[in-house]
Amino acid sequence: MPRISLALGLDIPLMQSTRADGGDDARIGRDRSGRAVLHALRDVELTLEPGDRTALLGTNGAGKTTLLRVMAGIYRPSVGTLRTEGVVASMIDPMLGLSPELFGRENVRLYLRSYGFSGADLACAEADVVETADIGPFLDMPVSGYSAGMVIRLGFALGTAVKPDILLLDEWLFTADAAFLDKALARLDRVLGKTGILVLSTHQTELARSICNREIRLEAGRVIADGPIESAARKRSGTGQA
Amino acid sequence: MGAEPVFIASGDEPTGLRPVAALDDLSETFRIRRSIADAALFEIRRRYRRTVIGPFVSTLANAVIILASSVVFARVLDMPFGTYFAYVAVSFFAWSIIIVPVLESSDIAAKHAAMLKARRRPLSELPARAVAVAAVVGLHDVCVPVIAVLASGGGFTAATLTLPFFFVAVGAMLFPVCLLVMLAGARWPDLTKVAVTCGSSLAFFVTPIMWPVERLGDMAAYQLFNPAHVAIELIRAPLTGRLPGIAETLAAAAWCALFWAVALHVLTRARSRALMWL
Repeated sequence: MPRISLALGLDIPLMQSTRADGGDDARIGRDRSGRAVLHALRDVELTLEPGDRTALLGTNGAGKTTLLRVMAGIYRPSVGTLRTEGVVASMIDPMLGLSPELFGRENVRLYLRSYGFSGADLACAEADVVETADIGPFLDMPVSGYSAGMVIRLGFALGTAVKPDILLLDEWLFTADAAFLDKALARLDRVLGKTGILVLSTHQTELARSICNREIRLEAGRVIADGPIESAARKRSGTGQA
Repeated sequence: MGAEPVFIASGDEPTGLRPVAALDDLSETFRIRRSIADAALFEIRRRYRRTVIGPFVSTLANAVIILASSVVFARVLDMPFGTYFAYVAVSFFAWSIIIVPVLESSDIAAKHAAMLKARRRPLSELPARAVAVAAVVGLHDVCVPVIAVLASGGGFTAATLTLPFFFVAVGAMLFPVCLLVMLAGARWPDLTKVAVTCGSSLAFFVTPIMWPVERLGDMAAYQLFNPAHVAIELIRAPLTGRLPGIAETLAAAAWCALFWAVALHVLTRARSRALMWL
């Protein structure tokens, strides 16, 4: 069964050491080696269980995307540990790390191969991506020439084609056109099933409520609220928080 | 199907375990070797996508450079044209194979920063791609030295059959260098670009490429301390119908071990921070 458990902190090195001494920002300091760093995540302790649909909420710079990158294994924690169980698909950026100069079809092949697909499985997954993305002849054109909508279609189709147990998603998907969005949400449900884990970074509380069953609110790199999404919303309104 | 089901990343790894984490990075690159091979082929295809004669123009350009420099330098060095032509064709071919991926690695991390930050992938994938592209281009351009050797009256022998083995050996020597250059380029992008460009120019002039090593007389043995020379010799010798000398082979093995040791050490230290430099 998929699971994410983490208890960690993350420091991002700063290139200009003078910043380490400047201002009132408590997030800027020095690490154990004396290097100037931004404390991007601090004392973050979470366990995500099978079936969790979690919304990461917070203002710009709160650490949502950084936490997604840590969960994806892109950034390694400075202290503490991350453990994920299950196939992880990170859809933090609609490009998913595709090469813009290559054709869509070539990118599909590279992406699926990097997840270990080969032979009949590869052909089957490629056909699935082609059908889901539904961008027709554009698949045989360089991705750099795609519209934003086409990139979203291809990115979503690819990210879900690897049958992930854990899906890490930034809110770019929700800028797609309504017809594709309906199709995408249905596919999301199908792919994740009852046990898959979704982590969605968003600023849209309503969107989060419609998709998620749990809310984690971040502020300045720390978790300040974690709980079922409705009760978390009630708690905030009860205390007068936005 | 897919990536390994359990992934653990820790910031509290005891120092003794860190090299294991670096080896994980390398083994992940090995695991996705099919994807890397495809990426190399697609990259070549992309370069020549808008042209039909492009690949032939590239090979032809190499041939013209070699022919023109042979006319001049055979006379300067007082060597028979045919002998010099074959020598410089093979040397130039080997030099191109080793220098192109090193130059590409100097800014490869910056160019692919978005890709590296989009999902978890091994850092060593990009230098592996650069070496794979060089190998494909090398296989494409090998016709030039082959024609030059045959045209000069030279012939291939049983030793020529060892070329694939030594080709792989050069790749094994080249990969850790590209990895180091990539990591340096991620940390100090401008400085690395300048250093690698200047270093490659310096290496071209001090390495026996346009002139035979014998011209150094008693100082020829010092070229064993030049990794570019020993790498070139591993390709040049089989292509000219002989086996590389024992001294060159041992020097290549020593350089290879040194490069791997340094690359593993640097990868171990830089692996968790490299993406944040970009």
